[in-house]
Amino acid sequence: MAGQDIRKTGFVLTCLVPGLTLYLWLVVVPFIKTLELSGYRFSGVSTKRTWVGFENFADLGNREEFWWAVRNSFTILLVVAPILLLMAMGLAHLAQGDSKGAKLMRTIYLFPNLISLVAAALIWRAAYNPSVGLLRGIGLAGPENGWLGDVGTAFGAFAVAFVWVSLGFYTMLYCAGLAGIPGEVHEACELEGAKGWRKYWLVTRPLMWPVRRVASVHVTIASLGVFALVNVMTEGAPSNRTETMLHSLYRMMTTGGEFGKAAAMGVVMMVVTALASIALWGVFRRNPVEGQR
Amino acid sequence: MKLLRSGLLVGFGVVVILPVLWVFFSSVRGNQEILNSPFAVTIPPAFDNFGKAWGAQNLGAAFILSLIVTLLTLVFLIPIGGMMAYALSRYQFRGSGLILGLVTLGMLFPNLLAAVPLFLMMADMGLDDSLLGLVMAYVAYSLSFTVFVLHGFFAALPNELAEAATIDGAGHWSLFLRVMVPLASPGIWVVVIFNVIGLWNEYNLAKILMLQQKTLPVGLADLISQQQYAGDWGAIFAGAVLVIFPVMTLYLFLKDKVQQAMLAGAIK
Repeated sequence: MAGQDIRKTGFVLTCLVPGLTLYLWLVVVPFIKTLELSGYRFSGVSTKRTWVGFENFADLGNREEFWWAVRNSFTILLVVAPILLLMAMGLAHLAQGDSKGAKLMRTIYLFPNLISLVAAALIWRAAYNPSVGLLRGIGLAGPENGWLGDVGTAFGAFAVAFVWVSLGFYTMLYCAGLAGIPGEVHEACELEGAKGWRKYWLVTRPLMWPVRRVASVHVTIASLGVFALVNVMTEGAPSNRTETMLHSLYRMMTTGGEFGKAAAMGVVMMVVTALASIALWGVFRRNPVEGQR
Repeated sequence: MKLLRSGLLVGFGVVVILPVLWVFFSSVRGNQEILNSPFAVTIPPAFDNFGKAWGAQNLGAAFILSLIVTLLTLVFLIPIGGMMAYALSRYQFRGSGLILGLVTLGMLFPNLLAAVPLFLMMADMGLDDSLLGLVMAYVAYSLSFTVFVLHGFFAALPNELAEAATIDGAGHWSLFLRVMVPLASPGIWVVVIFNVIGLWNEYNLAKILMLQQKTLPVGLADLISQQQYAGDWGAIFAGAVLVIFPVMTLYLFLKDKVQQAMLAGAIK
């Protein structure tokens, strides 16, 4: 017996050690170190580090760009993302089913989600550009500096690109959820005369609870994780109107060379992510349909 | 009503596809033609944009680096992630749930939150701006999704087969490699496809860690920001085609598998 136990333990350890070592070393440790580094003032690899306590956090609060980043990230999370999910739910209702046309459309919708965010950002940066722009070609040239160059329209223009990239994924997700509703449920609805909005609120929406939860978690991660799209499309311009929290962290680290402040921004975002997760857990704590997980 | 529905569906399809087509058509047009009119089709097509993007703008080297990094990462990621997921799902021991939770937690937080220490650690080891350092970081940061999905597939496999193989005298390794891995092959397809697409497109970590050696997304992004004012749009569009085309080809040939892979983290 002992020999078998040793072999089993050896096998499990061999399976776990390489991956766990890499993960702890390159993922977990850096996340913890971010907490430590947020208390120092320093700007690179070899330079001296000065312990400054919470000064980095206080400094963040004194910066206009920080508050723009917070404002924009929360607008994405609390305004753009819900609109995105609503659009996806609507589109999924239209695009559901096994007809060839619906399948083709769903295939096309997912495409922006598959291509590099750099390519998507380039597509929209070029499309909005007032001299080469696709939108100029269809008579929507927009403000003098282009849609992305005007303080009044830049955030909206960014949001359109964000929705363009993501909508297909959530539509597919909701379509999969709709396809998972058993045929008997639809028959029962027909017998009881439930249709339209009534059917949606009383039957479809509660049955879609697991999919809506997954979509909400996904969209929260995606909203707080906006980086590449902003970095390639606008770099936060004009006047911080498209700055996001993650992108401002990157800017502090690279352009500003303020590693301590970037780490402090990382800590702020960890707290925000954790709070958002707790809030989601609160909203989706109990499945309204009994017996379903 | 039916007409309205089809109209909306096709309408959104056009919104998705038109900008992509526009980039493809523009990638074979001269800069001046693009500036003159955004829509016309140029005959004959100016394929020299691709030559300029590949050579003068160094996107050829970036394309090859991206290809190597993607394949090398997969070669390490799939066995390492597969073994982890298998041990965590088929062997019960104290702490297995905790380890799975810790690994899965990585999906929740954007990787750039660890950017400052990660960059410093890599620089200390001389692994910044190196192929090896990037591949190590890619494997580490891809483990969360890979282990999460494969764990689900391994856990769903029936116990009877494992028991039968054990009675027949199969050891832990041969049970894993000869019985369980083939049974979990749909899951392995999912993580391979998801990671191929994700790694080919990856921007955040490459942007932080690679300064001289650029992957294709980083090379393209830098090309865009450098050419802000006097842009050679033809070369930029050609660069976009270079990064889009491989993924598009994959999607054309393996449509169902790609769709399944993209939804796998969400729906099992």
